[in-house]
Amino acid sequence: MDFEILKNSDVRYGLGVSPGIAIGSVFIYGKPFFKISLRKITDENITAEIARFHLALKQAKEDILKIKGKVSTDLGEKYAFIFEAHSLILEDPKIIDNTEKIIRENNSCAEYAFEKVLNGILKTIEFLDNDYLAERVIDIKDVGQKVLNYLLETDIPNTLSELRISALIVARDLMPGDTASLEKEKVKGLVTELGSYTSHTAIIARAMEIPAVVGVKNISTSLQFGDKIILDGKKGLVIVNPSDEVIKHYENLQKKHLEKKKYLLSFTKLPQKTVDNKTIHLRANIESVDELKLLAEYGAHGIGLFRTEYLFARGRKFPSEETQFEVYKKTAQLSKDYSSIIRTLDIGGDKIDIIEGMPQEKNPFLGWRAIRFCLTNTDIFKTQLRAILRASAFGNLKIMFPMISSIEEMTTAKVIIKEVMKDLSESGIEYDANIPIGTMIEIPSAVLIAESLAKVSDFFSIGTNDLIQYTLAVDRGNERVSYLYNYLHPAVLKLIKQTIEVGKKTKTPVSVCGEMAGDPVGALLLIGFGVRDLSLNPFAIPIIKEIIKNVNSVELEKLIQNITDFESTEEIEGFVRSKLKDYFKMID
Amino acid sequence: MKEETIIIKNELGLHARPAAMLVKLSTSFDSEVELEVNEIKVNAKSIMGVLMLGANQGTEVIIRANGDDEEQALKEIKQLFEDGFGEK
Repeated sequence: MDFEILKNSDVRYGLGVSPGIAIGSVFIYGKPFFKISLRKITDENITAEIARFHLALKQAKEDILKIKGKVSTDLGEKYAFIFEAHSLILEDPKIIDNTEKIIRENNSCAEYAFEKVLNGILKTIEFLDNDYLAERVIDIKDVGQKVLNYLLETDIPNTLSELRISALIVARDLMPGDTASLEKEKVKGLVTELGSYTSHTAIIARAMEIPAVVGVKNISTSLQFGDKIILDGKKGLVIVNPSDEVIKHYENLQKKHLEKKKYLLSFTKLPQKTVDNKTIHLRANIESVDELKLLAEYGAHGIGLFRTEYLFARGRKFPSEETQFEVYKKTAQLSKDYSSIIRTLDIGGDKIDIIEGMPQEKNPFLGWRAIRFCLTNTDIFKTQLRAILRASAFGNLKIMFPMISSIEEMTTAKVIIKEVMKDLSESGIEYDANIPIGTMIEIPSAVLIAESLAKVSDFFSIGTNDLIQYTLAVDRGNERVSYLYNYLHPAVLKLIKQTIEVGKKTKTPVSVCGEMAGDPVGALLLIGFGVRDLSLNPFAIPIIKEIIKNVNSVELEKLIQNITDFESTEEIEGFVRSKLKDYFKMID
Repeated sequence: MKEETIIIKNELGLHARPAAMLVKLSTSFDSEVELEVNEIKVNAKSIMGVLMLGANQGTEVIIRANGDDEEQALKEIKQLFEDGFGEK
């Protein structure tokens, strides 16, 4: 039926990674990825260079006025005034005179001179320490980028990172630093050209319950600001400038989707117990203090994974001990009945690359990230540990180290914790001296030495996302190979099973965090392997509860006990389809 | 040259929208127009300059105009401040 109604529409296809339907105007978001260097010009070309500068100003101004007109008609005059200010920046005598001066006196190309003037203004604003002006930095950068685009003859999208209106964000790619600053009320949906089901854009979109489609070719360059689109985050469709009939059809679908969501939410209060009365703890994966409210809302038993790197991304610099302490303290105070696992900074890889001084690496996933970064930056590491330990006096916190690949990393990290504890004791500051310290199992080497790691770990938590990626050597963000990324690969299931068995043998509690735990099939397999502690996206908790309610753990364990004997992903998929479908048909 | 001293009345002060209005109006005159707040002087035709004053409600601003149409410029700019930049 969808195909019938869409037959005259401009439909683009991608991968739906966060369900839901969004309808609205697009906002094209981007980042500059070039550096401007000084190109010297000859004396006789100075006049021409200044003329080129004025032409770029004029072109940029025309663009802005066009947007202004469109916003004014679409949304009203009120929203358009900012573009008035934007166009005035381009007429600013201070900016124009100073740029011309640099071109003349330094024989500089226009782009270099203009950028220099712009940066000077931005520096002055920083120095003024005025909050309102600090917010205007984004406007100035945005306008500046437009001029630079003309001067450099590039067509790089705008640098606007602050939305003032509710829109659908379209981008080539979104970095975790970008998604961290998204505000739910202002983002109706996300569309990117790159990415996969497990890339961070997708994870964040699902966490924020924003419909999202990734992997849509050329979408950011082929749309104009203000174009209207419909996004279907389940089917992976983007419909450009749809007809009224199509809009009406999708408005109905949107309504139905919201009703279904409401229905699922009614499972929130279900107990986390199987038919045979086994408790399965469902905990939440979160990344910010704002998400703490979701614990009660979705009925989570504490936090199984607090990804602290997003605290670091938000401020664009390392947060102070006090800032971190406040966040962890709030977390601890909510963790009286259950515990919460704080994972120390996992910077690097595809995570955060915006912190100054972080080198660009050829192979960031295999590079200086997570615990490796922390063990060399002990100041940053100790600040975080101090904040967590101080907070541990207020509730049940646990500490977990990411990216552990050897026993030495674990023992060194523990030595550092002991040092911090000693400092705290000497200053008479309270903390939980018996705070559990665990290992995140996400590198195949850690699975293979799990028995040794168990001796220095109070618990294990299997991070399936990275474990799959490192086991199968697949970059989950690379759409050419992301089809290989699958937890049903026999090697992945074997590693998970092996970790769980080591846990049983050594009496080390094993939990699982990562997308697999929030996926109905994944959760069933994990429960069948004997895991009683899953950490997942809070929004997925009601569905998994509804599934658990109908599970007999003994039967399930028996049913899948030989699943790792299959030789291929395909066979396992076939087995899962035929044997497990009864468990989750009611939620489909 | 003519000058006048006024107090900013509107709630938002010289934020983007009022600043833009002021710059547009100033630019429509041939005279040079200058604003002074706490001894900081800026060109009233420069949006960056006006914004950087960061002037809030209640701030004292000296407006100076110098040129053939200085009288008219001063009168209209003063009026804009008096009207609170059309807020409310």
